[in-house]
Amino acid sequence: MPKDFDIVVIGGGHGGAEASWAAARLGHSTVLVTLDPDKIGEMSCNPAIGGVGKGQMVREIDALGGLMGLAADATGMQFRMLNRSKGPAVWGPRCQSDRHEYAKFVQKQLSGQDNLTIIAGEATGILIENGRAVGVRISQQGSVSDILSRAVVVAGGTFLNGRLHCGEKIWPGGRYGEPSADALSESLRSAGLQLDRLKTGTVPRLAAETIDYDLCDRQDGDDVPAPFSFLNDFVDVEQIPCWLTGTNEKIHDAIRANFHRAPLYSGQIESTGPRYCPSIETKVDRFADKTSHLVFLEPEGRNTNWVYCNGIATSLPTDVQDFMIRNIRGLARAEILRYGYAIEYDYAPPIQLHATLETKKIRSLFLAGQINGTTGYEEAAGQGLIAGINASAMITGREPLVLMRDQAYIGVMIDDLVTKGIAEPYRMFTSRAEHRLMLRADNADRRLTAIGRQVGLVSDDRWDRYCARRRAVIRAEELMKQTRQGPKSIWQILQEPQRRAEDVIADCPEPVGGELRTLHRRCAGAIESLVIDARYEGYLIKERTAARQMHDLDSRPIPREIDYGAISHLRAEARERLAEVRPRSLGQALRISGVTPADITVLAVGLAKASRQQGDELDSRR
Amino acid sequence: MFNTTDTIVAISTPAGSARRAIVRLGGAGALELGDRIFQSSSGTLVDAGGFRSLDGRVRIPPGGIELPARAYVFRNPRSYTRGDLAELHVPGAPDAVSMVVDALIDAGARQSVAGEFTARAFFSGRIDLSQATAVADMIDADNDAQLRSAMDALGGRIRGLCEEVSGRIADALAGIEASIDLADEHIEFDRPEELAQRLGGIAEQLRAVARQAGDMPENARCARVVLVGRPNVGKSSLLNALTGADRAIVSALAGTTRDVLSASMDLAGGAVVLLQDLAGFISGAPGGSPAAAADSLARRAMARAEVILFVIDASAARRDAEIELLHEARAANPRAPLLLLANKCDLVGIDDITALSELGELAGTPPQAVSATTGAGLDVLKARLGELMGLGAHRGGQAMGLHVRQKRALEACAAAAGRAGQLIAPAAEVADVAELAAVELREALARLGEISGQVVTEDILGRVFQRFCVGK
Repeated sequence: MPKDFDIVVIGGGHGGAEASWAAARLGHSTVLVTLDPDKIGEMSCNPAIGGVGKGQMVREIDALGGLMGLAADATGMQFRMLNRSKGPAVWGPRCQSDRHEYAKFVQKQLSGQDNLTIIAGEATGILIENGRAVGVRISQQGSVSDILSRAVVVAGGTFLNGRLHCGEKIWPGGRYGEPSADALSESLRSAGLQLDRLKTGTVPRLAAETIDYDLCDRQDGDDVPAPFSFLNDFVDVEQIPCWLTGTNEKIHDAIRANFHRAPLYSGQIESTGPRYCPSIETKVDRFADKTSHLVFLEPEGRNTNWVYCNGIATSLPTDVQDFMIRNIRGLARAEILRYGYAIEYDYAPPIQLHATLETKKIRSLFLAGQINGTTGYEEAAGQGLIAGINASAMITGREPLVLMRDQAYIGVMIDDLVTKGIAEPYRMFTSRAEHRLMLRADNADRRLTAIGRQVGLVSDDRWDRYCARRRAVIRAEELMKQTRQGPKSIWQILQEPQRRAEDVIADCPEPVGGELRTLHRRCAGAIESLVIDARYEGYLIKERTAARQMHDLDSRPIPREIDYGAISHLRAEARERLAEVRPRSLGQALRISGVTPADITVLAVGLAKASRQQGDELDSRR
Repeated sequence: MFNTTDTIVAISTPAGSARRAIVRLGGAGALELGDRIFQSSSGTLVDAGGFRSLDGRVRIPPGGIELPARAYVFRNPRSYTRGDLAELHVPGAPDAVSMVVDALIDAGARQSVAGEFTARAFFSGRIDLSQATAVADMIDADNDAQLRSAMDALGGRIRGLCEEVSGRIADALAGIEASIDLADEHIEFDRPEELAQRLGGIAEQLRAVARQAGDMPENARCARVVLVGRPNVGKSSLLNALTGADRAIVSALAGTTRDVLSASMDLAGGAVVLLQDLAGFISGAPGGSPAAAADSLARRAMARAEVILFVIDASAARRDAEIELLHEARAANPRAPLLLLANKCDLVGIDDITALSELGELAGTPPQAVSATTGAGLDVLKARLGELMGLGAHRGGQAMGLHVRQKRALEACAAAAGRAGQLIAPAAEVADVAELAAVELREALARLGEISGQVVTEDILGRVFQRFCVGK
């Protein structure tokens, strides 16, 4: 086996899978180091991909040429477009996945990928020379060896120093039944990275045959499932239902009586958990007046009896979990296959990263996924993809890929992480994006596929399909804007909120109507996306103007080695925040909390002065 | 928030000029917008060449005002910001000036934010580095000064109202964001008519606050220059000599002037400043005495001053006492430029010169010889003050501009909240217009944030998780 690679990726979760796949497809000899190759692409938590904000990100990953959208389409069991009752800007595609099939699909893609080697073993340390990561030390069944590389991507998920909690019981592990990776954590720390602790909870899993579904409410998928990938026009799938039930006061009383045994309340866990995904004990505590909390029963696959109990994440002792489950409507005889547990793990506060996901401290070391304080498969995958692309860019000397906040949710996420840091595990919400009407699931290809092509991840097939859709959109827009019906153009009529697009196109004078219908038949998604543009036009113009102004500031770089102490007139607070974050541009500087527009002007003046002085010094030396 | 291309407007009068006001327009549409209200027989601003001035009139129809005006056009075609600049010089009646600004905003300009003209001028290369550095100095002081003056002007009550309203808008937005981002969680919406009514109420309240904020205190309009020094060094004589009035009772008996005396002083170029004799600002005044009361009045005046004239008796400088007072003056107002005036220079002896130069070093500025009796050095002093005021022009007519800006922010917030209400009112459900209503409410918060602190995404998410029990 060759011991030298271009890129080593540590971790086979959703971040590591995207990173290694992208790196290998960009032509780099890549090795993926994972504790257990059979767990690559594992869904550790809920068996679902997408959602509001997250679904948009999956489309973005796909538009750039990533893996997640393809895997989700191939293994989804139930597809729903969330927020269908609201405006299309906030529609979020989501699917229930067969988690075993999902992992198998990812494993097949990776193992069949040229340039990609998968090694079973534990990465125990990062090899560092002169402030640069030059490889990884691995341990395989007790034998230690070094893999040399030009870049390292760490996507270790919850495995870094992972500790599982179930009631009073604590044991080390990265996931249930899997070991933790403590040595790697230590290695990162001794390399100078600051590490902190986060926690998250998991839910009990039940045996399907022991659930009385008759007593639960059925939740079906959409009549016509919408695919994630722009490579798929439709998904051909027989959908399965999910089921809805809820907790009650009797359960809440039992939980209250056992608060002292919950690690979160007993002080056994001190780290921060997410506010948006609280454990059932937290919900009962904080929302005492609520008499019932929703419980979603989600099958984990077609050929398994495991059912995921979404909504009741817990780390209460098993006897309390037994009582809780038995008293939920429909679950009286339900058998628990795995109890819920909480996990605490190390993460590296992401303010230590450049927007490329390379650490500021150690060159050619990239971090992606939960190690950066995020939660969620989609968040991890988005970072993994960017880390893979930028590790490649660093090696080839190409311009790194930094997506802007008006280009992608992935850009919003990474900018938030490296600019603001986190106070709790970071999950994507559409409310985090200031340009929400631009960042839609339907237009992810128009936003990103050309970028993916330039990077080199978009295949000829994907590119051809994209170009066809693009041509259809250009032609349709031209027709809609030029064709008048009465005093208004078709485009303007489409902007009337009460008019349905189908009717407008049906009423369209011939031959334009016919041509539009043909374009729609060929590229339905693209034309529908165009109609959404028409609907939002007034708002989009405003958003684009605001975005352009931000670009202007984002394109004004701040030298990496700048000494903020030497910039006169900066307010103390601004100086402190700037020195901490070390933003790459005036735009990023302005997004730091506590930095005002006036500070930016002062900083810009200071920068100009510094570069002038540098020029003078050079002149005087000559 | 930090737009570099749209058209902005600000009152840019050099601080203290009550007789003439400058309304400055910058950005891509500056000349077109100027032409909407300015008429001249010499042609339009758009057609005027590079650096031109035109005489004409500003008309604000219908039934509005008409003012004689002179317009200056500064073209800057090569700058990337397409930073055309127009200035309308009009008589300085505050209400009329406000109307001019309002008319321009109605025509599409935006009220500029702090430091914005400076920032643009610098970014577009219109001002060079040394100028910009001087201006950075001022911005530094400005942040502080503006904040204080914002507090003063708004008063606790109005600011409290702003914060309360901001909280109510944030709550409305949190409800909408929660329904969008937590689609699966069965979150119940407010009924559209209720939410619309609430937003309508908020808009109405904001407009009422805007009207109050628009009533500007008269004394906020003039820049203050203060005279400070030990008793009997000749402050009152200087006040009289500089203002040409017999305001102060001048006596050789130390401590004759017991209050803050004020008189207006003309500077070159039409600027007017308020010159104040802070006789009460003395070191070590005993507590409880009339001197102490005057002292605190004097201290407040000192804190508000734009320029400090520190007067010493050149013929009898008492080093330690002067230094102590100098430190106190600096502590009361660390930001205003300070000039060291050596009065009675006609009587100076050789020993005094050593003491003077020491003081000059401490003050960071060389002593400037003047004589209230002979009038020596007074013209030089006035010219220097004029320069300092001119530099202040970058700050955009601080007090007046600030009021207009706050009023504008409140009105813009009200308008955005109103638009959100109008979107929601006719909807069958809030969900139908959720993402658009959110755009308007975000705008409302951003504008209000210019006064009472920005509400950021984290705040909204905080409210969401506070209020809604979620967790799937």
